[in-house]
Amino acid sequence: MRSLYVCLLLSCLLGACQRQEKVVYAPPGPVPPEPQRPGDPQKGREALLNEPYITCGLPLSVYRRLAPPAPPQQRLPERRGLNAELPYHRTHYRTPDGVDLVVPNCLQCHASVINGKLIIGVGNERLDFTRDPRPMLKSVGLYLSDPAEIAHWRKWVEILDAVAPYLTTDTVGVNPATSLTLALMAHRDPDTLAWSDRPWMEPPRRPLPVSVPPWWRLAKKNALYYNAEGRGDQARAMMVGAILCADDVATLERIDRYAPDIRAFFASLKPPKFPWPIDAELAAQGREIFERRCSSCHGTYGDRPTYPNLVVGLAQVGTDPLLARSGTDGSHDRFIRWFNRSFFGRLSRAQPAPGYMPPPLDGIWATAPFLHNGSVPTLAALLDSSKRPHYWRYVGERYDPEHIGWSFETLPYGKAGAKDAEERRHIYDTTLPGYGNQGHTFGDALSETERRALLEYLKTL
Amino acid sequence: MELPRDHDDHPQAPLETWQLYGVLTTPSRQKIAFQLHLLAIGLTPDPPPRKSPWAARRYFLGYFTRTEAAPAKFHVSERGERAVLGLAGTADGRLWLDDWWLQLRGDRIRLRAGVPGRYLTLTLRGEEAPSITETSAAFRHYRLPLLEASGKWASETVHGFAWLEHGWGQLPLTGGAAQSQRFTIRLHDGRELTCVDVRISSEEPGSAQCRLDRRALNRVRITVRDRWRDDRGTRYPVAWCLRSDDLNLEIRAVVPDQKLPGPVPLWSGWVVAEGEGDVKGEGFVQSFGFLED
Repeated sequence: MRSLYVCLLLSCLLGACQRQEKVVYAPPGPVPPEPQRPGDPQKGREALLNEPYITCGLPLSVYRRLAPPAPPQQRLPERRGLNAELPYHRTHYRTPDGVDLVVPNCLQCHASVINGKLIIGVGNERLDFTRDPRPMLKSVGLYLSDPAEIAHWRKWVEILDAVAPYLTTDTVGVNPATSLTLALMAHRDPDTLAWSDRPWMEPPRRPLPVSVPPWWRLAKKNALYYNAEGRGDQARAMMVGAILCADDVATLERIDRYAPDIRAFFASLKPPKFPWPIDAELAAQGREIFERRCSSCHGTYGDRPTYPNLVVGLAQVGTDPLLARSGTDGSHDRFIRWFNRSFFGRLSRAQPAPGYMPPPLDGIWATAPFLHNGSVPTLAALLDSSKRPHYWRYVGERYDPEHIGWSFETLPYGKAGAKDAEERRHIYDTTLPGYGNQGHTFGDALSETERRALLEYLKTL
Repeated sequence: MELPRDHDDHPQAPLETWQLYGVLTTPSRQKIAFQLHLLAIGLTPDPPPRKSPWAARRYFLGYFTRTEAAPAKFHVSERGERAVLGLAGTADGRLWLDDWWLQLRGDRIRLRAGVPGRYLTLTLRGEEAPSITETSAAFRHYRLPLLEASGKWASETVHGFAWLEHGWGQLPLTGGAAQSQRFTIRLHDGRELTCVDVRISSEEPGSAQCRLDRRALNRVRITVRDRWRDDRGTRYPVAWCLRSDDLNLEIRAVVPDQKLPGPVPLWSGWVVAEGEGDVKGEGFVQSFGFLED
């Protein structure tokens, strides 16, 4: 009898092992297209601006007391209901128990003002994630007395308490989205999405810096994210941000009804036109250079555009390897399994490649800083690696149309030489792990005249 | 926030506070702590124009405290007036409440407050720039770091150090869902320690943020060691342990009962600190928000 139990136990354990999904990485090279669910871009825009796909935040009553009224330039006329009074990056949500909340939305990271104009879809590269959000959020409790409101505020505090260490970066401007997503997976059951105060698995220790890519690239890309790990149905994969607050699959199913529309809206976005003069003759010269030297990875532009959809191996591109390596060195396998086993994995899958996808360059002028980690502040410096600063920081809010990027200054010292914490958090230090500005030196072989022409052409895309 | 513009008062704010507190020494080396809290409470956000001299827009509340260590004594006196007919108000960098006043404009700060026959008159001056401590839209607040203080308390000459804090914005609710503890301590080597610790229950570790001479301390954890119960049964923290990578301190109230009366339960009192390596210090702690029964 005992041997029967042992056999049963062994077979159960073996079965459990077999159920653990095998992690498959994608090879470098072409990324094939995959079917996408159809969507209505108009409905997608409406949903993006009005639907509460993030379902936790501050009670409206306290938000109105504590936050300044949204200035006119932050209100969008097509927003409905209470959203009309909120800034574009906040959304009204009435909870099932009737509490009105003000919740964050996608535009917090995916919209930015450049040259005085709000551009929806471009990454917000000036956000500050260096401050621990918890003290400010907890102090909101000083202004709450309604038990239902307190319960929702406490839930928000509970989530941020758990993920704040993975959300807090050490440099102003870099985005911790990847690290935040992994931390949330660590606290949620992949099958039910139930929250656990104690993580089921260990999240990565340090947020890796990421520059936020523009949404309009979706029109051309067959896979999401820098290392092409978002395969299959893109609408489903992009929804993963909703696990910030979604405690059950039913919430995700509700969002999934309009997610294909939002994806269709992203793909319909036209990149903003370069708002300053362009030397057409010089740009025409630059086009020749581009098509000779850049288009095999970045595609061609004009009436009949092409885009090769490739993953380029780390040895070839040479840019900071940490983000791509972390996807394929086994250290993230538990998160890949989580994703593929969850609601998201039913239509999409996580399948990273050991390299990076050279992005389509539509609207490239508006997407500074450059490279996946935002380590190169201008396009001019990207095309000439000798001009890339080791240590730099933003200066003011001016976009520099000549070098193409936010105005910055080069520093003679990195974070270690900063006089205090305040200065340290503003310094982009390319000597830190994950922050390197090496690689993609393909522009170095060009003459100065060729580089000027190429830069002029890039303004036209 | 923009200084020096925001040194002036903010009559549109629902609440504005000026707090001056410090530790003074008499010629006989007796130490005495004082606090002057002046609150301007907005009565109506947009009052209609009224010609009546009795038409008030703000109500001024004031608390003046004197704390002695040995024997332990805490005395608080209270004033309240509507800002009408010159009874209380602000003008030209000066604010007054009855015969208490605070002069903020100019190179020195001056104050007069106390009880009949025992007034404190002080002159304060400092070199360092103000430190902006809270900039949420709810409540804006800055502190003038360590000021040198000298003056007279009744007929006795006193000198010492003090801090001035000025804030304006929304009044927290009585019995809200969070508790805030603010520490302002001068260490005996001249360094200044400031901490804000916000917690949502007495069990959780809280989110403390501390600065030592404006440099952030790493991995700070503040735990409450002891509480004092007032006559209504509410318990206020009166002893704390501060642990961090850079500094460890035991902090305790000089006198447990340093609770202020008023619309928001506020414990605000003189504390002393001791730490490893013979570190010593003294200053003030303020606790408000939810409190345990």
